[in-house]
Amino acid sequence: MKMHLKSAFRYQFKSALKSAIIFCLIMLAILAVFSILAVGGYEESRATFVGYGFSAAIFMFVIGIVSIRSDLRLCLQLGISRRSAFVSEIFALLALSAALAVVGELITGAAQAAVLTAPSKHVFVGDLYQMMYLQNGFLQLGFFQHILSALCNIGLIWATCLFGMFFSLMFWRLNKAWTVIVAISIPILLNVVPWLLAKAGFDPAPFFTWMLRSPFFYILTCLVIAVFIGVINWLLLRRANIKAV
Amino acid sequence: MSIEIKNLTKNFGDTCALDDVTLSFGENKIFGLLGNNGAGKSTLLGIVTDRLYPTSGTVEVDGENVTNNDTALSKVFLVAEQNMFPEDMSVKKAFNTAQLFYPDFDRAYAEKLSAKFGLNTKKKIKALSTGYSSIFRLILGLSVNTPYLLFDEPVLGLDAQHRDMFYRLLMEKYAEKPCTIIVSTHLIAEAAELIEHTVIIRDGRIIRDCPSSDLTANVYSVSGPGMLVDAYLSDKHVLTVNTLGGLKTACVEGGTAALPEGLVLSRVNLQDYFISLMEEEDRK
Repeated sequence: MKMHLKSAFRYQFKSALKSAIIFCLIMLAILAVFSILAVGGYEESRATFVGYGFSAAIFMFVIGIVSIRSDLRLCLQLGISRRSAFVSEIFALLALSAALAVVGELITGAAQAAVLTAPSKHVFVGDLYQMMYLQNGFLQLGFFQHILSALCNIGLIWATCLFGMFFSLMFWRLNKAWTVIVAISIPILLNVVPWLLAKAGFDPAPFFTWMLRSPFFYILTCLVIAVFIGVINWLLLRRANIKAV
Repeated sequence: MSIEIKNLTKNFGDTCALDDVTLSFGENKIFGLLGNNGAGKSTLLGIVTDRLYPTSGTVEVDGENVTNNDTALSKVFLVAEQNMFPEDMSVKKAFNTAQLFYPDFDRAYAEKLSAKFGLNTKKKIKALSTGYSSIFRLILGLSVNTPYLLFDEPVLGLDAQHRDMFYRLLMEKYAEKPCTIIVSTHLIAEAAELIEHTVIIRDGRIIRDCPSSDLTANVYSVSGPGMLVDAYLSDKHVLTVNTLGGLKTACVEGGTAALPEGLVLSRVNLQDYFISLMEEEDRK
């Protein structure tokens, strides 16, 4: 069966792009404000800008929550099947994650270059990859390192985005009673499960040690999580009744 | 070239919305899908457009199963009661989006109809009144040029003038570019002139599926003094009987036998037939 992904992809990517541009502008503004505060005459003040990847992941988590339902409705109204709508949504969000990661590298790269040339080095600009694998506060990343950093961010952002989609789809499928039960259970489980695991002697440290050995292990972990959540999302959507608001 | 529905069943929990429905919507005809509230009309149209997943059974468009099939789904456009576009989208952007998905979307025609109905295309969809929200969806439906056009309560919230305008435009469209049109409506009297083939659904089951002319040709109304009517009805299939004073009126299905003196026979229109049929079903 031929899938009509092109138009759905174009619509889905474009509909989230505007919010992504606003997000990037806000991040730039935050960086600018931090830099002005740190460089502009306050000798003791220091500014740290290391949260772009996480911020982008949280932003895309929200996009994952809000976009899936409206995009599915629109696609089904306009003759695109739920499978094609879902696949194109996954790829549109992956493309957007990649775009955000690339923009992140451009911002951090430019800011790091600016910091190195500035007389006052009170601003620390970095990102997740740098903190996890380089641990060098004032290092300016090379091209290959930027690629690795971007890949790390793409993995994180995409997986988080699919996680947001999962919550949206799960609550879409649940009836009122189950919505309340699940909403109450999630924070309880988040606290109880780690405690139970610790009680049972489960130690996650070896896994994190393994992941910190190479950025590729981290990227692989993110991809495995993304694929796993993606499959669950499809199972949730496969037989869902797509209704208007 | 048709929509073929085979052994379709849809359950919502304990409620059976569609019960083993088998039906065919042939090429280039206007179908009326009639039924009381909760009969299963919207569910049927929802499954045809893959918005709802059937419990069992299949729907095929031109021989292709609609489930997860873009080729089949792109041939069908459903103008539903509710809006499926993002509410913060403007009418103009919705037209742009429809154009992106349907290469045959007639943008100029959509703009022309918007002007004709007085629809402000700069307005956001959520800002439209109930009537204009319906008009927006109707314009999309009339402009997409798909081989199968489905309308679920198309004139919801429309005033008489706009309803008349829509029926005329639909007929013009059909005359110009014949396609299969399915109209699900409660306003049977208004749509009766359009409907070539009637499908009546009740409690999720198809109880009538035949050309509208056959449906009403076989049904007539007999009125006259109560005793005479009762005597006449003794061996007839009576759908409904109404008594007003000494005068009795009955709706009868079947051939017209010679009328005794004092009784008056008249034809029954689609709406009256539908009401009579529903009342008969209620009594069962």
